[in-house]
Amino acid sequence: MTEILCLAVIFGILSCDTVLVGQFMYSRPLIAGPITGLCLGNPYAGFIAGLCVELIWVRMIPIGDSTPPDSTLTAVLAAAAAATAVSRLGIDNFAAVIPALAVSVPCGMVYKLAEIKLRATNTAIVDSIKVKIIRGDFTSVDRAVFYAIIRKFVFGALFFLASFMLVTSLPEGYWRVMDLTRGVEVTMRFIYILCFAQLFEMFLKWK
Amino acid sequence: MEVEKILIPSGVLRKVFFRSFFLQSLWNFKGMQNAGFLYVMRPVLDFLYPEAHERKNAYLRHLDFFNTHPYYASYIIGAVCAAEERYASTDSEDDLRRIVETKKILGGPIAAFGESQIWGTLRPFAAVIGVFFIILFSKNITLMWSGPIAAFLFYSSVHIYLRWYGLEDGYKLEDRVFDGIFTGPLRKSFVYMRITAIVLVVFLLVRGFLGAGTSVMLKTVYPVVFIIIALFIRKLPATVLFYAVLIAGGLFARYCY
Repeated sequence: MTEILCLAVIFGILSCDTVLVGQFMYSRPLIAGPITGLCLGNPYAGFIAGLCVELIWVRMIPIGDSTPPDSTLTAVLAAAAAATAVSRLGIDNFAAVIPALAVSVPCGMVYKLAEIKLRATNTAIVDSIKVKIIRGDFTSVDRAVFYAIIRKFVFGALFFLASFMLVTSLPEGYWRVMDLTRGVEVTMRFIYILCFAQLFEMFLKWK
Repeated sequence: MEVEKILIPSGVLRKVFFRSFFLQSLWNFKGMQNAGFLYVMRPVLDFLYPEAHERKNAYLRHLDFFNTHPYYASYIIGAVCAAEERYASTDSEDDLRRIVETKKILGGPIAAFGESQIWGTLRPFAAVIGVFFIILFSKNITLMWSGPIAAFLFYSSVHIYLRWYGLEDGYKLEDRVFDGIFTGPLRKSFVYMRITAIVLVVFLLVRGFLGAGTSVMLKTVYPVVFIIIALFIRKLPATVLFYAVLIAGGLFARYCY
């Protein structure tokens, strides 16, 4: 439980990096995934999840509200769920990452939509800043920035906790779905091809 | 009468640099980066306008609509700092107009340029570097960390360089700073990044093909899947493609492999 609470705090920090603070891109799935895996004692699952999310959605650009699903939440949740499934059920890393990704993507989409709703409330905050400045309160913008960061951090951490509990409560049969196909390696290879096809498209398309 | 020029101290510009990382903290659908821009400019405005009335006007003019690429915004911030400095010295209408025009005219082109260069080239290129090292050292979990670390260091060095030198150049050169951006060596380096990335992606694809086991079936399917995905990649969103590939992979493994 302590590890999951730590992860929620880490995700809160990562979620601020995507748009609000700095955009240093340590929130990119390629970095966030392995960090999550490391926190749960299985960085390898984090590497696989992070790499897949990074490359499959590599063409997504963070302009305004145009980025569903949220790649950071998808990668962190997939890595955390996969690492948990590996330690609980003793399944293979690849076999755990595939179902973890499949269930994390909808969570990433819901998170993105919720985040857009949250961002919409900034308009009212900015309007109130204007009124406060007219009244002579010049520090109101600093307070609003601080409030926006704290709000995003708390929102991200709580959303991660809720979605992690939801994902890990899925029945054991779901996590063993790859046993039915008897071909984790083949499915992973298909995903690998998709990843590189997306990269190709990215570099050939952008001028 | 000679006008006494007020100069912004370097300490104030350093504060602006650190605050520039918070440009998008209050991003909103109406004014976009307007409140963030005001937050960044606050140290300069507080220094230039000690009188409450002047300061209030300065704050309010920076709450007008503003949106551009967050990294390249530093060039505009630097140019606006210089324009504010001049206006504080001269109090001329022309200089006031220049402040507003710098933001209005340059925001759009800089945003388009930044999207293409940063989101379209630098970010995926950093990802390719990271993926290259992860796949290269996939047998050693410790060495695999070189991937994310290399991606982060490469990306951040360019990012922080753009933020700091953008502010400095914008302040020194004002609107002339944009002459070099669209045509200068920086643009060329992005072209080289794209070429290098394509070479690395081809290398990783071929490596994946050669590593596709000894099965003839799998070796045949590998290029076929790539071609099918390439046909749909522009027509379908990435999420739909992901689920389609997942289902196709599962079915192929279950019934054909």
